[in-house]
Amino acid sequence: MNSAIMMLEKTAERFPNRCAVRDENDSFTFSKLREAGLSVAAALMRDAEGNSPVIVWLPKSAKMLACFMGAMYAGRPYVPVAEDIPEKRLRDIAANIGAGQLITSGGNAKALKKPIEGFSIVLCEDALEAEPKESAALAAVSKVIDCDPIYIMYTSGSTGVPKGVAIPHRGIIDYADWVCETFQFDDNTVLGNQSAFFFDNSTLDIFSMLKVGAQLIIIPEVLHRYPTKLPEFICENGINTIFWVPTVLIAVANSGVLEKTKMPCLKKVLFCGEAMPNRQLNIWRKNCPDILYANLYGPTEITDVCTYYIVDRPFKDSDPLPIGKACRNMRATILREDNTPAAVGETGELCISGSALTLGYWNSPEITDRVLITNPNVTAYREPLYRTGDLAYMAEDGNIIYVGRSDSQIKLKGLRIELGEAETAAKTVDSIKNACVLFDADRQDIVLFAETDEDIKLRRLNLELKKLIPAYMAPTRLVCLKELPKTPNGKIDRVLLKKTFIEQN
Amino acid sequence: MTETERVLFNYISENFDIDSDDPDFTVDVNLFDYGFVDSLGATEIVVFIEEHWNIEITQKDLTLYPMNTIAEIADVVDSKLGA
Repeated sequence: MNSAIMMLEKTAERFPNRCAVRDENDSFTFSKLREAGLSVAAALMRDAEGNSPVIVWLPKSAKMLACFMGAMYAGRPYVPVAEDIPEKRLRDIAANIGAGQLITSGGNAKALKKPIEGFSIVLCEDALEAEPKESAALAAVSKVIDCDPIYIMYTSGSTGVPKGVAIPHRGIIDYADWVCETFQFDDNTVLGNQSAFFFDNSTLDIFSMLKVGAQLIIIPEVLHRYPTKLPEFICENGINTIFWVPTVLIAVANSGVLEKTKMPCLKKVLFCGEAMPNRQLNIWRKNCPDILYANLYGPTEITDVCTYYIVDRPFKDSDPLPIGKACRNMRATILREDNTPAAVGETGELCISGSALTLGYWNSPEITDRVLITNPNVTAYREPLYRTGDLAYMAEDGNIIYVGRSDSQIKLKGLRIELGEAETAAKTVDSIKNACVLFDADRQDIVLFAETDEDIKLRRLNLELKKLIPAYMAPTRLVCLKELPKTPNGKIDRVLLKKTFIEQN
Repeated sequence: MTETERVLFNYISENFDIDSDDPDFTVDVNLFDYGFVDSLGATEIVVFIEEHWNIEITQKDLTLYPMNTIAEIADVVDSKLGA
């Protein structure tokens, strides 16, 4: 298989009239999804030739997914972005890509202050109505090779510029195979999608749906605000499989709703994106003992997931949950600082090799070279190796245990944030002379230390910051100081700030 | 301001520590976009409504009706009470 869209080709033939994807407004059967994809592809190919990336800027919906299909049918990588992305960030992403197309709604297009240089705009509503051109699309697909990019997902960059992780078709094709086999997904699987489409956890939902003809139900965005209502939604929609970030599972467990609302239809609970505490997992396991639970691990750079652990024994609340062993066709190595392999039990940097690795950060060779290296322990040929920046060790039983980060990247609600990005944004605010952002892991707070003479209110400041950075990166606590403390060589004394304001509280 | 709006306005300003003379804080402001209520707060408001008026807000209500402003929340409450 050269392109992941071939999964839809096969499944649309097998189950043309089964529901593929559904949201609160629309639903597509597999044959309708194929047709919609072909329409979008025709619109894209009519608008421009070539294989430049296609930014998809829409609310998370069945239609957005049809646009991904359209980009694949046109033989072009898609770039999913959030509906509420700040315009500045959208422009930064477009500038990094260079040139291409942007699919969006008429409303979004009108709201843009000026055209986006290098990008033509294709309206989603028009594209879905375009006459499908099957043979032209299949000809475009036939030119794709499995190491071409299928999508580019933008993650937080420490200098304030988002990084575009390009993933090859091969990574997704392998991943869908592995996920469906390992967790026995089939055409009776009903997935309840939580993950944003600009976050790679959504690839499990989307591509296992395409692979085996499962049904994908997009949970209305607003319900994530009300975790106590999620079990009700699962029951009413017959969802039997979920792949959510731990933050949501934790909120459901903490709310006490699991004691009240039973979910007999739910059979599989998978999670990834951040550490899952056993305290809340134990609440799930006690109330829903027949469910299969699995902890998956992987950064965006390796096609969603590279290690997994099926929960197979009791854990104490305070135990760490292993991230398990490498998935099929993946190799996980733990390296010391001098690049030699760490011994069992010894903490080092978790490094991954395999054909699912990122092709690199789009248009950014320097930052790519820092993390995508040649495995120093393989000398006879070049084996690409991705340095995750995650610290981990191998336990006696061969399972990997995650320890923490080696840099200032954090995970909040499963989303990856470089504190430097929030810091860069804060420094652009007029009333702030200097700024430093730290993470309070115990309280799950992004703390902004602002050097200012004014009495700034966090809520008002965030209204400004949300024009520059996504809402999920905005600080949740603000400390105003007349002057930030400095180290002897003039840098902001982060250690002192942490000691004084975070650890003392 | 209707009676329902007044009850919600007072509850939200007390519980989420909002100055009731904050010019941004009105019955029509989007409580979430403007940062008055965080994600945990949304559930607290629903729990308050369910207990105070002894009604149930279902997942369907939350999906079908926008409940981002005090006026919108009051509409849902009033329609439940009237039914």
